This record gives sequence, structure tokens and C-alpha cells, in this order.
Amino acid sequence: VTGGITKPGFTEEALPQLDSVYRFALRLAAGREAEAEDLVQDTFLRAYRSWDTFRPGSNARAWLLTICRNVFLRGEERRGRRPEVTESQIDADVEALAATAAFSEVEAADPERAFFDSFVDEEVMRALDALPAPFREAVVLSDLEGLSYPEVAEVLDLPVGTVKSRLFRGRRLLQQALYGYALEMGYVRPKERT
Amino acid sequence: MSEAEMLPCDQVIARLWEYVDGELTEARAEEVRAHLEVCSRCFPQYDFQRAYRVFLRRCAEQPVPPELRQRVFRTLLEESGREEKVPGGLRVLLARLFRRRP
Repeated sequence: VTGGITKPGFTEEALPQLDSVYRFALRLAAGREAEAEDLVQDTFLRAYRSWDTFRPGSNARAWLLTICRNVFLRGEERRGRRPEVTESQIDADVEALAATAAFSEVEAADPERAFFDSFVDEEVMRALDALPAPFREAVVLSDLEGLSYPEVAEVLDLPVGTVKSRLFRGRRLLQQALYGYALEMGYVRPKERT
Repeated sequence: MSEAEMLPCDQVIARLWEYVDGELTEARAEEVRAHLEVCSRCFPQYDFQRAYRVFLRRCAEQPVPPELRQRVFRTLLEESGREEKVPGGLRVLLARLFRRRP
């Protein structure tokens, strides 16, 4: 089918990243599938048009995910959607959570270590989509896509230090959200305070 | 490694994510590993965070729907055909004219 795609290297390097770009697009669009599909299509069209700017041997996945995010952000601007949170709100949210590392609660409530096995995938993706975008992006790129810190920094155009703090905070927020959800659903029981 | 050389717990916990993510230098990673092997307080945290990572990776295994794959291929084929019809010089000119700011 790809015989007619003529730019050298595109079929071998860019197309295998389709699954990755789709997963990232889905989370950028907070689970809205139609929007994510348009985003994937636009990403590949733009990538194809500017394929000659791709440095051979560099990371095609990071390059495509960067384009995907830029296309998404431009669309958000056009639609007049404002960023959902400001940096100061992020800090406030995180401060409030600082004392509640999910691990210690889960450890107490889940002696069988089955905590993560209790969720179905959609529940986890919903919790992820509910995170503020700056945290969600970092978590998706690192935990879902397996990008290294420098690669995440490249895609998000941030210093590595900022990536780390967003990633670690994002993970804590996500674990906390999952724990709250697990309690609500009765997947785990809070430890009796004695 | 002797007890005296062992990293303290707070330093291990501070580097735990970087360790789980494979982002530490080999020397640093070795120090963390040595601590985790013997520390019953830090190891469960490591185990939990590692389980989290494995779990999240597994949850996200969602392949592209076949229709979307076809749609992307079709778009690229059309684009490929379109570009071939436009002479090279004109294409460069058009690309310059319509180039967006980065």
C-alpha cells in the first residue's frame, strides 16, 4: 500500500510510529477519539511535507510527537480554548498533595500487592485524562511511550529538571487519583486506624 | 559495599524514580541497587513504583484503529501524488510562501 509514498525513509522511519502518535494524540485530546484521529492525520501530513527537515539518525518518534503536540496546541488556540491550569495552580495543587504520597496508603490497604491488578484500562486512562495537561503530557511520554527524560524535554520544549518535577508530581497525582477511585469502588479498603 | 558507604534512605528515595526509569549513571544506580537489596523500608516503595510503570505501559497498549491507518496512508499517497505533479522549483517557492512560523 505504501509503494506510492515516495519520500525516502518516511515509510521505514515515520510510519512505524503510528501507534505511538495515536496513543499520544488520544491523551492530548483527553480521550476524544474523533479529535485524536484528526490530530494523527494532520501530524502525518505535516511530517510528510517537512520530512526533509528530519535529521536522519535522530529520534523519529520524538520528532513526530513534537509535531503532534504543536498541531494540537495550534488547534487549541484556534478554538479559543485556554490552558486549563496556570503554573501557580499547579503548584497549589501539588502543595496540597505533598503530604499524601499514595504509596504509604496503598501499602497499608493492600497487603496482597494486587492494587494495580484491580483496574481496567479505561479506568486508568480516564484518571490520566483528568490530570492537568502539563502533568499528563509528561506522564504519557515517559510512562506510556517510554521516552527518556531528555527525549521528553525535547518534545515538551522544557528543561530536563522541569520535566522531572512534572513527571514525578504527575505520577503522584495519578496514583493518588487511582487510590481514591479504588477506595470508592471497594477495590481496596482503608486501613483501620487504631 | 560496607554499611559505612551505603547511601542513606532519604537519598535513595530522592533518586528512586530516576533509578526505576533507568536514568542514573551506572555508578549511582549501583549505589541505589545495593541499598535496595538490604533495606526493608525502601524496597517496597521501589517495588510499588516499578509495578506502577509496568502496569501503565500495559494499559496503554492501544493500537491504531485500522480505518485510521488506512486514512493516514490514503492522505500520504494523495500528498505524494500531488507533490510529484508540481515541478520542484515551484514546490520550493510554494513551501517558502506558505511556511508558517515555527
